[in-house]
Amino acid sequence: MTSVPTRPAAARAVPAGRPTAATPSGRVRPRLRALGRRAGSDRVLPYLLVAPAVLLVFALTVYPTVYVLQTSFTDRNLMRTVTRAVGFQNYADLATDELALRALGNTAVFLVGSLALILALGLALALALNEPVRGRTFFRSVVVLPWALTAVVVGVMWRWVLMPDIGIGNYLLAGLGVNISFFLDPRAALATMVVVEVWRSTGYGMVLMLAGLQGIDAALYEAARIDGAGFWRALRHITLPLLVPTLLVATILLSIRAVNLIDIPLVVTGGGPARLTETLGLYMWKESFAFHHIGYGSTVAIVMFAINLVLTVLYIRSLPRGGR
Amino acid sequence: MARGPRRRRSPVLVHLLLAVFSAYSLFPLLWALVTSLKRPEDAVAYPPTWIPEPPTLANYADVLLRTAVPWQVLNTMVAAGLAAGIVVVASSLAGYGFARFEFRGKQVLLVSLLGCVMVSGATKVVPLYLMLHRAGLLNSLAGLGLVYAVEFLPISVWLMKSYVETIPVELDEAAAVDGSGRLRTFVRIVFPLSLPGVVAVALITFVRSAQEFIYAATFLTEPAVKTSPVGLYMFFTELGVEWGHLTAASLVVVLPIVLVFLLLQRWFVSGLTMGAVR
Amino acid sequence: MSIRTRTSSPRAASAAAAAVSRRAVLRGATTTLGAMLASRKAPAQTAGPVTLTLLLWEHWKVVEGLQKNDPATVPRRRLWFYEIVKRFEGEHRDIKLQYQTANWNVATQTFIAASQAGNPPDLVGAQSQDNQPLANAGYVADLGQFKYGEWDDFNQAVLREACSVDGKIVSMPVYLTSTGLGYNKALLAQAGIKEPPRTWDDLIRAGKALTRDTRGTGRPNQWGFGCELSAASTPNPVSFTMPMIRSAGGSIVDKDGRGLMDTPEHRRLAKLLQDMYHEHRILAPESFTMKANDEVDLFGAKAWATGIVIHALLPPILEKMGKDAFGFAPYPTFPGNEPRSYSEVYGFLMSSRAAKDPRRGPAAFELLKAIGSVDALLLAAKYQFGAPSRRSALANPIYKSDPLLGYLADYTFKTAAPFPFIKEVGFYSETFIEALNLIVLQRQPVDETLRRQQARYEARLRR
Repeated sequence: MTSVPTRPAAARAVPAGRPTAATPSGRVRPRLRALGRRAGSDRVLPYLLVAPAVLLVFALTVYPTVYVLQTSFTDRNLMRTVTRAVGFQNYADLATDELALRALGNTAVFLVGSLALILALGLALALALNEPVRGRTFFRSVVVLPWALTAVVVGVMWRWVLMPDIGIGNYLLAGLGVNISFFLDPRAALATMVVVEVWRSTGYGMVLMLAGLQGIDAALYEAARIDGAGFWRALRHITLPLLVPTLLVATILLSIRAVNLIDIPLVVTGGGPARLTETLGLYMWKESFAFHHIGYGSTVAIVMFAINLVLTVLYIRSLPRGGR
Repeated sequence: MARGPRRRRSPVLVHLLLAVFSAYSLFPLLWALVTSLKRPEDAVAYPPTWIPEPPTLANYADVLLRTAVPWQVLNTMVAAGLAAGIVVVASSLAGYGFARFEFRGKQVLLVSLLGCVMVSGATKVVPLYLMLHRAGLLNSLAGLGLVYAVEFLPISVWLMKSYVETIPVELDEAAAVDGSGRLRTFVRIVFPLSLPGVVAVALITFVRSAQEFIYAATFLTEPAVKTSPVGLYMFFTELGVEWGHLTAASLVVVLPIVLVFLLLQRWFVSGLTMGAVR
Repeated sequence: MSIRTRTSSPRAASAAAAAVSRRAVLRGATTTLGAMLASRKAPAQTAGPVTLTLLLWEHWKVVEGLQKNDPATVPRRRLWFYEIVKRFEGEHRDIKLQYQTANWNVATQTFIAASQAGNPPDLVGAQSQDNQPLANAGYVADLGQFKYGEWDDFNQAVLREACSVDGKIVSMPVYLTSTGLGYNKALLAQAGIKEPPRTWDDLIRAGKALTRDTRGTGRPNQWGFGCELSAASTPNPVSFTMPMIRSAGGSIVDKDGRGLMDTPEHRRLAKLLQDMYHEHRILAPESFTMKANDEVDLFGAKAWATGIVIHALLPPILEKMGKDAFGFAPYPTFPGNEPRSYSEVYGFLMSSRAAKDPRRGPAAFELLKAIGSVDALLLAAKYQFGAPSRRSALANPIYKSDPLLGYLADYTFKTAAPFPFIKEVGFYSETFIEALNLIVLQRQPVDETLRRQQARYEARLRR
C-alpha cells in the first residue's frame, strides 16, 4: 500500500455511468443509521462534533446580527450620542430612494457578470490544471496570485493602469487607435468593475473547483474511456453531475460575496461618475461611514441579507438534486 | 486520487487558455513589479515605460529596512495562520458530523450557519469592536484571528460536509465492521481522504484572512500588531502615493501567501491511478 | 506505464508543518499576550509619570523613529513633529508618550470608533472639517478650560471659523495650507503665455493653447486645466470650488449651517465647467476619476498644464519636476472679482475623556502648547511649506529666506478661509459632486440639476 491516501478498490465496483458519490439521501441515510446502531451510543457524538464550529460562529455572529437588526430601527448616527427608535421609517426611506433602486440594478448586473465569468473561468482552469500539464504549479500560482493581493492594492493598480491620460492601458490602446473611457462612461465603469473582480476572484473559484474535482473517482473516467466516451461526454455525464455540490457551494459563496462586496467597487470606481455605478454594498458603506447614518446603513445591510437569503434558496432549489 | 476526464484533443488548446489567462492575471502585476524597480521620480513618467532606467532596488531596501512591513507580514501570518488552524479543526469535525450523522436540528443548524455569512462584514464592525473591547481582545492578533476564523467557518463547514459526502460510506462500514469507533474512523479514514477539502478550506481561510482590511484597520491601532493590508495603506500618504514603495511592499507582502499556497496545493494532485492500491 | 507516487510521506510533511505552526503560535501567543497586556494598562495614575496616548497619521516606522530617536524612519514632512516631540520629552521628564497610528484618511473614523467604545486616545491630529462633528458628539474637549495667554497671537479667523465650535476652542491649530492655481512654467512659456491667467477667460484662452496631443493619436493627453472634481477625492471638490463661489460673491452655506448648491454663483460655476469640458475642451477628464493628491503625479507626468492644487503638495511636486519648474498663483476669477482661497487647517484635539482626568488633562495641554508653538510653526514651514497660524511667526526670517514660502504665507493669511461648518456635510459633499459630475460629464441642464440636488440634500436634513 502506498503512503498516499487513495480511494480503495471497493469504490470501483460501480458500473460506469452511475456515480456512487454524493448519492441522493435516499440511499445513504439508512446506511448511516445502521452505522450508528452498530457503533453504539451516537446520540451525543454528532452534537459534540459540530459544537466547536457552531458555537464559535454563533458566539461571534448572533450578537452583531441582532445589533445590526436593532440599529436598523433607530436613527443611530456615529457622530451623535443620542439615538431614537424610528420604527420602519428607515425601510420606508430606502424603498423610496431612487439611488437605492439604481444601486440594486447595478448590483444585479455586477452579480450576474462576475458570477457567470468566475464560475466558467474557474471551472475551465480547474479542469485544465487538474491534469498533469507542464508547468502546472506555475500556472496554478499565477491564477491564484491576484486573489492573494489586498483589495486596496488591486484597485489602485487597475485604476492606475486604466487612467484616461497617463494610464498604460489607454497608452497601449491609443497605439491601436482605440480610446475607451473606462471610468467616465457609466457602462464601461460597471464593466471595468466586473473585469477587475473576475481578475481577482477567479483564483478563488479555481481553488473551490479543484477541491471538488479531487472528489471524483478516477475509476469512473477509466470506465468511461473503455466505453469509448470522449472528453465532452465524460464532462457532461460524469464531471458536471458529480461537481454539482461543489458548484452549488461555489455559486452561493460567490453570489453572497458579489452582493456584499465593497472594497473593489470602492477603490476602482468609488461609485463611478455621479454615483451611477454605485452598488448596494457601496451605498451601504457610504451611508454608514461617510454620512455616519449607521441606522440607515444597517437597514440596507438587512435588505442585502434578505437578498442573499432569497438567492441562496433559489440556487438550492434550482440545481439538480445531486446536491444533498 | 482523482483525475479529470480524459482528453483526446491536443494540449495546445489547454496551453493557449492558460497562456491567455496568465497574461491577463499577470499584466497589472508586471506593471507593479516594473514600477517597484523604478526611482520615485520615474514611477509616474509619461509616456509609461516597461523597462526601468535606471533600475533600482532602493524601494525594496527602504521597505524591508526602514518600514514596519516585515514585522507586519509576520503579524499577518500569525493571524491568518491562527484562523486557518481553528477553521481546519472545527470544520473538518463539523463536516464529518453533518455528513455522516443524522440528528435532530441538523438542517436548521446547516441553514443558519450559512445564514451567518450573509450579513455584510462591514456592518458588523461596530458591534464586533464593542465585543472585542469588552473581552480585552482589541489590538490582539488572537482576537483578530478568532474573528477571521468565524468569518470563514460556515463556508468551510459546508465545503467539508460536501466533500466528506463524496467519500463512499462503504469505508465507514468497513471500519465499523473492524470494530473502529466513529471517532477513530474519522481520524484514520475520513480525515486523510478529505485532505483536498481540508487544503481548500485552509487555503481559502488563510489567503482571505491575510488580505482582509476592514476588521484589521478597526481592531488594530497599535503599530506593533498591525497586519499587512493595513500597513500597505501607509504608502497612500497625505501628499500623494509612494508608488515605488507601494508596489515593492505589495509584492513583498504577497510572497509568503503564495509560498503557503505552493506548499498546500501539492495536495491537489491528479494522475495517481488506482493501480497503486492493487 | 509508470505510476507516479508521492516521494515524501504526507505524515512527515504534516509533522513539519505542525512544528512550524507551533512555533508561530507560540510567538503569536507571546505577541498577543504582550499586546493584550499593553492595551489593558490602567490609564489612571495618581503618582509617577503621566502617560498620554496620541493617535498619529501612519507612515513607515514613524512611531519607532520617535521612540528610538531615529529620524531615518520618519518621513521628511513629519520631522517637524518629531523634533517638537523630542524637545517636549526632554523638557517634561514626567510625561510619557504612547502612540497609536492610523492612515490619515481613516484616522478620524478610528478616533470616533474608539470614542464610541469609551476608549479614545488622549490626543489626535485632524483637519478642521472634522472639528464640529467631533465636538457636537461630545468626543473632544474645550481647550479654553486650560490657562493659556497666547490665543490672541493666532489668526483669529482661523481660530473662530475652523478651530472653535459654538464659541469653544477645540483644536490647537498648527499649520495652514491653501489652494491656488498651480502651473507648469515650461509648458506656459512654450505656448507663449507670459503670466499665469487672471480671469476665467484668460484661462480658457491659455487652456486652448495648452491642450495638446503629444502622442499623435488625435486625442489630447495634455490638458490646459484640471481640478479635483471626482467623488473619489471627496470632500476636496467642495473645498476646491468654494473659493470660486466666494470670489464671485456667493456662499456655500447659509447662516443656519445649511449647505447651498442652487445659487446664481453655483450655476455660473457649473456652466463654466461644463463649457470648459465640452465647448472649449480644456478640462482634463482625469479631474473626474482622480483620487486626492493625484495632482503630484498628474503634474509630474505633464498631463496637466495648470490646475487647482493645495500648496502642501508643492514639496513633492517640486521634487518631481525640478525646483523652478512649477509656479503657484491665485485662482482665476470672473472679471472684477478678487481671488479667494481655501485653507486647510491642521490641528490637534484632546479627547473629552482625557480632559476630565486631573493629571492627563493638563499634561495633554502642555503637549498641545508645544505643538502650537511658534517653533513648531517654523519647523512646519521648513519641512512642509506650512503657512503659519500665528501672527508672530509671520515676521520670522524663514519666510523671507524662500520667496515661495513667503508668498504662500502671505497669500494664505490674506485670502484663505477655512471650510465652513455645514450640516450633514458628508451627504452635502457627495450630492454636490454628483451634481457637478452630472452637469459636466452627462451634460445635464445646469439649473434643473442643481435644484434637484439641493432638494435632495434638504430632504436629508429633514430626516
